[in-house]
Amino acid sequence: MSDSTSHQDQPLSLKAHEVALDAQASSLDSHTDLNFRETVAIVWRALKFIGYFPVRFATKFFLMWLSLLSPLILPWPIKIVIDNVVLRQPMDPSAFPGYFSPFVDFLDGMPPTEMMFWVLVLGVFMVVTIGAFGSTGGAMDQTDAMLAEGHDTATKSENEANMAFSKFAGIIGFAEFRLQIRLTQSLNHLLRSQLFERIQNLPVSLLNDQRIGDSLYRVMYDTTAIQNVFFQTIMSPVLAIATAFVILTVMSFNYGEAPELIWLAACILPLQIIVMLPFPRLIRRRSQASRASGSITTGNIEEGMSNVLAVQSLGGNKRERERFSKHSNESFKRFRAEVLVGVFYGMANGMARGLLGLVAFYLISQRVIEGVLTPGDYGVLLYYYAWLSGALTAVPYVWIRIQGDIPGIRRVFFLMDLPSEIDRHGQALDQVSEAITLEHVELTYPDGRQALNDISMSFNVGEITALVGPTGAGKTSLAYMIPGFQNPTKGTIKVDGVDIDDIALSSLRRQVSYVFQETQLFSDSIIDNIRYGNPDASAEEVERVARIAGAHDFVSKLPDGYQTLLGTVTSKLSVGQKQRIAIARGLLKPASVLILDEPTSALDPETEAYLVQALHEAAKDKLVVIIAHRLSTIANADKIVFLEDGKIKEQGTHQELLFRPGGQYREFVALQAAAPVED
Amino acid sequence: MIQDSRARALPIWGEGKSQIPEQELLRQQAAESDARGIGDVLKIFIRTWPYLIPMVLGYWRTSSGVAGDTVSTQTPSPWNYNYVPFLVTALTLPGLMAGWVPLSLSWQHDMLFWAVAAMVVLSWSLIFLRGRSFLTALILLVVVAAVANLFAMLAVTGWRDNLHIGLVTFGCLCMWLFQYQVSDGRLQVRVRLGCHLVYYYILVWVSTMMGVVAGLFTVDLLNQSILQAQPLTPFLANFVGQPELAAGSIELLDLVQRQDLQRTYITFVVAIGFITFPLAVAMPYYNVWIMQQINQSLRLALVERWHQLSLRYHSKHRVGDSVYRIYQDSAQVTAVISMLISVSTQVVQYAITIVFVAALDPILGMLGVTIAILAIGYASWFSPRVRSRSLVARQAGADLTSRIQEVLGAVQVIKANGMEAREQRRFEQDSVNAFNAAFRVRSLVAVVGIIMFTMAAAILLGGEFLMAIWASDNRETFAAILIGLVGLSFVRWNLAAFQWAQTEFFKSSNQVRGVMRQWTSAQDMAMGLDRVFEILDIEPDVKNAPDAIPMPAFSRDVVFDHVGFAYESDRAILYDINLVVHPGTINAIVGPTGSGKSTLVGLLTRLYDPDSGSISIDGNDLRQLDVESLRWNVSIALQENVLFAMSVRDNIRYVVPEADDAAIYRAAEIACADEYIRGLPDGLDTVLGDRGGKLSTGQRQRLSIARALVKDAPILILDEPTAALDANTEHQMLSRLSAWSRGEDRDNEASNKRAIFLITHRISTIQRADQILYLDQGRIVERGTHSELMQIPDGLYRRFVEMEAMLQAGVRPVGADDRE
Repeated sequence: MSDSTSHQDQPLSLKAHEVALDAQASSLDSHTDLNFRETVAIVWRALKFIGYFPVRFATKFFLMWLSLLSPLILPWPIKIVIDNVVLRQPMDPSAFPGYFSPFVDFLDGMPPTEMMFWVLVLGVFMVVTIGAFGSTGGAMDQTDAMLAEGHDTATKSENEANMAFSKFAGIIGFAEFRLQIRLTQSLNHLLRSQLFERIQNLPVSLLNDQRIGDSLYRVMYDTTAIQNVFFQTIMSPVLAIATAFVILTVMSFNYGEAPELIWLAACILPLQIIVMLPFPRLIRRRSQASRASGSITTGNIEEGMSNVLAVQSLGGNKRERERFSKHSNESFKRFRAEVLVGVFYGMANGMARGLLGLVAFYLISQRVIEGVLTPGDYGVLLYYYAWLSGALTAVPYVWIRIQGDIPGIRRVFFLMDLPSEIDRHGQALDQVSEAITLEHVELTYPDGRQALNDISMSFNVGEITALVGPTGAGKTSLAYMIPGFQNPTKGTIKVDGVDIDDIALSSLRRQVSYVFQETQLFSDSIIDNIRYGNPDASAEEVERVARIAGAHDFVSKLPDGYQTLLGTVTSKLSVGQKQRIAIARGLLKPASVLILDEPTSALDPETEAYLVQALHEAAKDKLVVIIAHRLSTIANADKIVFLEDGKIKEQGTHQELLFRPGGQYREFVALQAAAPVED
Repeated sequence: MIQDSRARALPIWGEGKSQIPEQELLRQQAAESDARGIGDVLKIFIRTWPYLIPMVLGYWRTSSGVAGDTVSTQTPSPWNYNYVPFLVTALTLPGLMAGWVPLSLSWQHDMLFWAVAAMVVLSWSLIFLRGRSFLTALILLVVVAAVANLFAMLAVTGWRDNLHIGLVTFGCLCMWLFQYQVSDGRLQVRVRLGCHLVYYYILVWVSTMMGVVAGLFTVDLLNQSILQAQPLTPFLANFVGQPELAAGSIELLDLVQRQDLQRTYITFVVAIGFITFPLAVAMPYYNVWIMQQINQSLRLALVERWHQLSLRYHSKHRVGDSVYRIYQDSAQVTAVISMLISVSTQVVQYAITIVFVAALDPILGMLGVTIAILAIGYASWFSPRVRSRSLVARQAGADLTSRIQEVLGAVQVIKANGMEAREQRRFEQDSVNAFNAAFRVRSLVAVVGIIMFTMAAAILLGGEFLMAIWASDNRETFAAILIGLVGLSFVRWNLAAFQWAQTEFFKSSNQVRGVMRQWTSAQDMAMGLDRVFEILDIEPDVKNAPDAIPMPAFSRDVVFDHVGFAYESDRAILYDINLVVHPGTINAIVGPTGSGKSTLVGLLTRLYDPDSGSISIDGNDLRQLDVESLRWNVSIALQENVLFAMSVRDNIRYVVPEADDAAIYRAAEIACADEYIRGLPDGLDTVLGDRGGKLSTGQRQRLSIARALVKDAPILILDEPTAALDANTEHQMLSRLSAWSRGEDRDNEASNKRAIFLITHRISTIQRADQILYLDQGRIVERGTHSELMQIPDGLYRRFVEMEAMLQAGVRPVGADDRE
């Protein structure tokens, strides 16, 4: 739901509401609803990440299987304590399983006190190795490091990113824990890094449509969803089925007379699957909405904090609070919806299991009433039945469990699959020595607006070309095409005769130094900011370009000079000062093409004049493009290109165009130098 | 095996070679030297109280539907609960009618009688007492009620007494729930609603009780009667409606009867299921809802404080850090309640268990206490370490979030300079740091748990050894009487004693470990909350004075009186600024870059307060005015066009949400933005990207101006409003602006009371100003009208104008070559 409510009179259905959230979160990511096949495809793709860590994963898997062994060992020591020590019965080796007999034989014939002592020793040994000495609650320990989390998808990500668990304690538990935590971390780090790399390298046109908050959310909070898929899909079902087999075998061994019970237990699986049917999609949709809403909230926080001083000047404190409150509430609500679906699933599942349990109860108690089974058998059978149904439930539950994570992973893969600039390969470019030509270039935005129409011109090395025109004429869009920020929808651009699509982007951009219209500096020192495009430059070179840009004076007046750290909200410098630093940065980069977008809008006349002169110097062996309104800046350009409504209206030198009768450029210039506005 | 070097970026096993970069090491040392004790940790938890209390105390709802604040605004409150003693006394009458006469029934009934009497007396006294005695009486009442209820539940058979005590307690509770007042001859009642935490825990208690009752019922029915054909207890028999099956009437149940009971059992389970399922659905949802409300209030407090803080804070803190604090740190508040309740219940249970265990043999009791002592000793070792590591982990996580935000925010510059690879390396380094820090804290938590268990297990094994030997030797137990109280009869050690003792002993160890588990997690929680309170503790630089008044309508003047300002103590931006501005004037501020123009107008919006001197509007010092009302009266179009990722409409009416489309288009027209807005695919509904993406700079600038205009404030500040506009648009806009400022578009006297501050380089605009201020290096060096200033020989302004004019004419000014 966008901020404006003027055209939303009727309350939206849940589906429409969620769709609106998706659109607001990210305009690129619209197909968010997945069907079963697509879900399976995502799970499969996530599972392929095992290929990065096969050995570690197998080790963890093996250790998890080990935990099946503990019920085989743990009950027996207490049996010895009760039967042979407390009740003082003689040791009966046949009552113990074969693997335990060495210890039993060792104890055979000892007085109770000594027996107890050795049981104690065994207990200590087991505590140290596996962290359990009996099967009762107080005698067993598990290892995990879950820390407190909140009730929101994002706040659970810290635990997810570092998930590690062991059914043991002691040395083995510790080992398993450390192995798994590093495995989960490695997996998350890998996915995060891959995603971040792809996002960073998205083309500018896509990045403009992708909100920072949404990208941030995906990198930080959506990537952590993969570890669940990773561990749950493989480990749980296999273990569950193995457990089920074990129990079934034991049951049929001892209680062959009640085969219906086994069939009943086997019915659990299909019934669970039927009960489960409507839920996966519901959970996926709610989880997606929760993440989309979280992205919006993150975007809101990020936006508010980045512009916090502007918000204060505008008097927007209250407004920002309201906006944040609304978005945060919405994200909480979406999370609750997800919780609710999960709760309903639990209810449905519980009812199904309860019904079956009642049937089991009826069957077993009937047998007991009829005298076929004893009350003791009832206890044992019901215990086995409960264990079996629990194990079998785990299989379909795995699928439900990961449905909440699937949308997260889908969001990650979506961004990773977008065409990225990394994919573009081409030949290297050493320097631009002749010209950059545009042939019949057209640029149309996805929403239909045409920015440039049939542009044919050339920028030549050794010349200053000025792009002039009213606001919105397309000057910046044109300039963006030179370093490949923008790709033309039609037409070709050639650099020294080579099609720009065939040139490696990194190489091209190394040759282009772009000074943007709106300045962006980093929170590093001033000298590091200026050196951003040329990290190896010396301090003298930095000072030289700073002088040309008119920055040296004010920088040297600062207490720390060039080492002054610009804060994150760089209001220590005025806008004009920041612009000069950006110009210095652009001048320092050793590129053959220099593009300046409105470099003089915040410069005073003196500095402007000086800069223009320096540009003329630089233009001797470079290709210089200036976009400007001010006559002073463009008058001495070698070529002026006058744009209006995306078309080149006139081209030529200042003198030529000035004397063209009825020329638009002439009219434009006249307005510039016009007398003050009459009322 | 797929290859990617990043898969091996983290160590396989443990901490690896010193992975801690120096910055982290310094942080770690700083965190460790932070000598805080358990008291400070508890203080942090206590500080969360104001955010929890609304969920406990709720709010008042009156019969007129107005919900008031829980805290009454008038003292003494006009609301009272004087009806309560009458109610309580009335409720005791049924007890008398049920035959309660003192000293006639069992001693338990006597206790109950005295308890009820005490409650009646106390409730009467509460009306008359005040202050400390009131508080004491209240606490006494609560304690008596609690004890009486517990006593009735545990020690007295029969439900009538329970009900009676419950009613009396409810009567006393009415004091808290319902209050009334008589005003203007009318009776008004208000009821307390919204005590969600209380409701929730009542629900928990109810469902637990139901579970216990159902369990008691079914266990007996199942094990004794259905499976073993034993007759029912009289209570059960009556409950099932078949008194003939009670013990005493019948020896054994036959087949038909057992099958009958089987059906009863099934119906009962299904019925319980139907009753508890709604609870099972509602309770988790309710819990999540409550916790989210609490979290939301803390988040809002954070956001509010951030928006009050000035440059001094924000220039040192990164945006991602704020995101982290809102998500990960403030969320810790939701775990506080459950932790406190869990810890306190376990401590109480532990005490009870130890008493029972010691009753069997004091050595066992001592062993049980030893576990606790060892745990406490260990806790004092690991707590500060967990805290310091947790703090470092949080900081590292915040740094990672910040890195992502900063890179994505500056992505154009990064692309232009081909620095993607470098930023990627820095990101991965931050990610590795964050994971390593998380590893250190979680590894410690896991180790703590393991060692805790090992210590406990050693003692448990020792205890088991002793118990087994004693049982083997049939040794005498210690305090038979105490055990008799519990209903058991272990005079000597036997198998049953051994099993019971083992269960209890193990339980006590579990409880200690449970508390330790919670305590470990609490250290991390405390650090998260600490980071939240760190922000909430910062005093904003600019805040309302206690007696701040809203700004009265601007009518006379704005006066800067010897104003001086510096961002940091060593770099003054403004020196001794004196100026007077009257309504209905355009005042141009001119000067070279960095002379302090934007700062000067920033002072007017109280973005900062001046270091020396004062600024006043109509004689009211800005510091005496309410900040919000001041900013409401000042409209500013900033030099850096700040727009938000909302629709165009919402951007323009950012501070005036109630503005309709007509007003928006009017403002857009003056700003020369209406044409292009109409040309946008969705018009006013077009949603902008981050930082107002999808528009060109010129379009953004005009939007920003439209935003300032729609506010229609008496003081308007335009900071370089035409920097990105071409001459044509600029002229158009300025002419429309001047027409607007003189009120030609509407007949409103107020309109020509507008004072406009204009920062610009455009001579054509400056010429028309009523007052021109030339600012150079933080001082007003020249002031006057254009013609006045032009007459100053060698004046800075004159020189400025002349250079500008020459540039406009396309001639390079003389003397600009010698600058090397």
